[in-house]
Amino acid sequence: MSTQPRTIPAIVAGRLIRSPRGETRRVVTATGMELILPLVSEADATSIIATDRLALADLPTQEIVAFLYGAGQNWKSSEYVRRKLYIRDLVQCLGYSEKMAKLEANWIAMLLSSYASIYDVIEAELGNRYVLDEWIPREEAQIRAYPRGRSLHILPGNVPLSTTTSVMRALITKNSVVAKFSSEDPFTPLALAQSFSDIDPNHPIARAVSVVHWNSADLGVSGKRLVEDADVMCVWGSIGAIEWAARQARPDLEIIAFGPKHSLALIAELHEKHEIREAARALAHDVCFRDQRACFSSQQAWVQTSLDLFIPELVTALDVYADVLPRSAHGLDDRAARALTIREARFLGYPIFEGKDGIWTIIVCPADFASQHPLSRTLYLHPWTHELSLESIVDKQTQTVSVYPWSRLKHVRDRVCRAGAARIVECGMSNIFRPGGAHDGIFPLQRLVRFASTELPSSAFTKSVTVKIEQTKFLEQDRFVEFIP
Amino acid sequence: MTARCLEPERTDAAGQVWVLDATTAIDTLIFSDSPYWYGLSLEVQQERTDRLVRAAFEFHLENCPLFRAYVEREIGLRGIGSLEEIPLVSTRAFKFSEISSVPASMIEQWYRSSGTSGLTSRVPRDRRSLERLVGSVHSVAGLLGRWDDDGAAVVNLGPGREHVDDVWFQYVMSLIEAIHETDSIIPSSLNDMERIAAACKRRLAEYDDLIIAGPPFYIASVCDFLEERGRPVQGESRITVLTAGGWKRVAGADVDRKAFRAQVRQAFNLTSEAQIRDVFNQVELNSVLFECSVHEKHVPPWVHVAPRDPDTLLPVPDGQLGIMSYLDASCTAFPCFILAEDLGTVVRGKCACGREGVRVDIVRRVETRAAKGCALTMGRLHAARQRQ
Repeated sequence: MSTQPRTIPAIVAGRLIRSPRGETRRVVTATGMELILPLVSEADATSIIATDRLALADLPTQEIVAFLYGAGQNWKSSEYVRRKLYIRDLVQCLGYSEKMAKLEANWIAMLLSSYASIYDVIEAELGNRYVLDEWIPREEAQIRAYPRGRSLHILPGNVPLSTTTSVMRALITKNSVVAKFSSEDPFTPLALAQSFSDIDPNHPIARAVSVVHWNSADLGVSGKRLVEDADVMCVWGSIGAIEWAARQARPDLEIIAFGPKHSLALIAELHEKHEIREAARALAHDVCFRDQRACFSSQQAWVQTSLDLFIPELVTALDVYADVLPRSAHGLDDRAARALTIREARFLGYPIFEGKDGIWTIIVCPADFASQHPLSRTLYLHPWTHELSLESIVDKQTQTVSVYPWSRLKHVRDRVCRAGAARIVECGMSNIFRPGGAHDGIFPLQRLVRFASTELPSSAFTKSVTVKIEQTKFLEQDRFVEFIP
Repeated sequence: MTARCLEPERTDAAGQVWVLDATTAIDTLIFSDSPYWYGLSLEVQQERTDRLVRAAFEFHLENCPLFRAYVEREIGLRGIGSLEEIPLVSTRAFKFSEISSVPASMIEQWYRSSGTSGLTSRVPRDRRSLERLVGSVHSVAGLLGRWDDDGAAVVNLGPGREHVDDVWFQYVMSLIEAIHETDSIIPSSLNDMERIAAACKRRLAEYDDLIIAGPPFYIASVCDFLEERGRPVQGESRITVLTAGGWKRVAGADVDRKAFRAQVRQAFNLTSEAQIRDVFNQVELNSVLFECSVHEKHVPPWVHVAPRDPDTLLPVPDGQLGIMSYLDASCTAFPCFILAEDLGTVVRGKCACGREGVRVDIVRRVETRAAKGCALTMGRLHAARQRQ
């Protein structure tokens, strides 16, 4: 591995800027690699702001979907150089295991290539697959969805999938994109944008995407200009990121905030060994996928099944995942957070099960175990007793509740969703967001567009008034009340 | 409290050993007029640390059932070999557990942390622990300088002693009021800034020396104000600026300490950056660590400090970053054997200031990916429940 600091490029309106045109900041990654990040310069901001924010407005949706599909097919190929470099960067710089990095690349390919799902999402969230391209009749009006213009994405460093999702949502709604990457992961947005240029560097989509960086504590003059120029802002990540966005926002700026959330699992009473094994494997997946850095990762599980039977199966399943999806590198801070949690649990006398070299941890504790969660494949396991009120274990910050077996859905769904949970899935499926599902309580595409309506003229009768609408005449004759249904 | 045999602290003329109890031994150190122990060799200091901490360990083993049960589970009750074997209590345990080594009737106050993360620790203090804290501040403050009680005044950028309530940080900062004439002003408005500048000028006219104490971000705000007004306070060699508390600005950016000192020196027209000192304390620690003139934080001999490897919890070599642990023998209210949420380093030997001993550098708070990502750790949910 190179020990030389590595300079990260920026992308301005589709053009790769290899040498920083302004100030830089240095960060050290989880693997000890030093990165030099370019802070967005005046020239970069001016160039981005000068581009047409509605450059994609007249591009047919099918062309956008086809373009993304083309990029996705490249990502699907193990020979694609961009994919190889991306995997290398995740491993060498961010400490991902080879298998986990490959999985991230596969997910980028999957999202971009799933053209049918993209149409399904448009249909589900905006009501009609063609609404971005033409006027669609809707009761006594026709509606059409227009892009808001320039979308600014404050991206997370913990979940590459979120970057792809955020950028894709903006593009399929024909918004131009300014992606502000996190110092924790500059690689995903840069690789994604470059893969668009790989298809055609002059394509409007490639040119509609910029990838820049600023220090979140001090966005500087250029960052401020980009925030002020944005028509919609998608903010992913920590409470700090969300609060920052709220402070910067113009009163009319549409802010779409995702996170922070936490997720949990419910495992009902099981007796058959194969069922217990299946439940344990499903739960292990939801704990290990992305090492719990995602909001949908299970951090806690309530278990009705005998823990004496369940824990051995869970231990086996977590060991399997240590092999099939090895954990990413953990820096001093992550290990320190884990040490603090384990010391707290030990002090309180809770049973602890640990994988080899601390690769996973199970802490059997009451639901009100008070520690902050260290993530890093740590599961708080709680007995699910008859006295447990499901309403008490969720709140409005609960995102995903995963359930096993699926047949228990009807017993828990309304109780946890009424109390605040955003999403119910089968245990083991927490990372798969099905088309049609809401995301953190909203349908994001609706927030990325502006609906306009063309409403019927006076000659068209309304449903409740069977005559032509002649308002002046009705006022003159004082007949308005006759038309009230 | 159980009197416990410790070490021969003094001998009489005939060489007869006086066997003193632990209380006397530690109080002899704490309530001394000056931090004379920094003139002792490192070995002697460490020997005292070892004995005082062992005595404290025995005390809490007897008096804190939670701690005793913990020790029994972790290492049994066979006793410890080295101090590093003492099972550490995560400071997070204080956020939800009431950990005490004294009966409720002896607890003067449950103090809480400032709670910038949303979760606050609740930590008891009995009279003896509080008196030792005050005594140690009085003696260890000798690292800062020697002021006559009536020759120096204080401008404290915080609430006055009467408004302190149960926030530990504010309580510790207000201790200085017990020693010197103090103006307490929170710099939250332009008017407050004017009052602070006026108080500085007035106290400089009335007293030989002035101590300005407060969190770094408050001090920085006052400096910005003084710069705007053309640096009207002439501190020269008579002002000492004392910082304590988090090294984060409101926006969350780390404050560069060297740049900060240069800013403060200029704004107050100080003769030297040696007049700007930082102190460290947290609610789960009963002692205050003061910076010397070359900006090294010295550890008094009743406290054992060791950065640890997070996986093994074994001490890391001197100068290497680890998760900070403290074994503070001065506390009788709770077992002050803590694993803290800070990363830091330790060096030992002779300091450039001339003193011998152990010094620490608290580098930063533990920062996890969780704090930066979209996965909400459970803190807020539990914080809400804690409030209920």
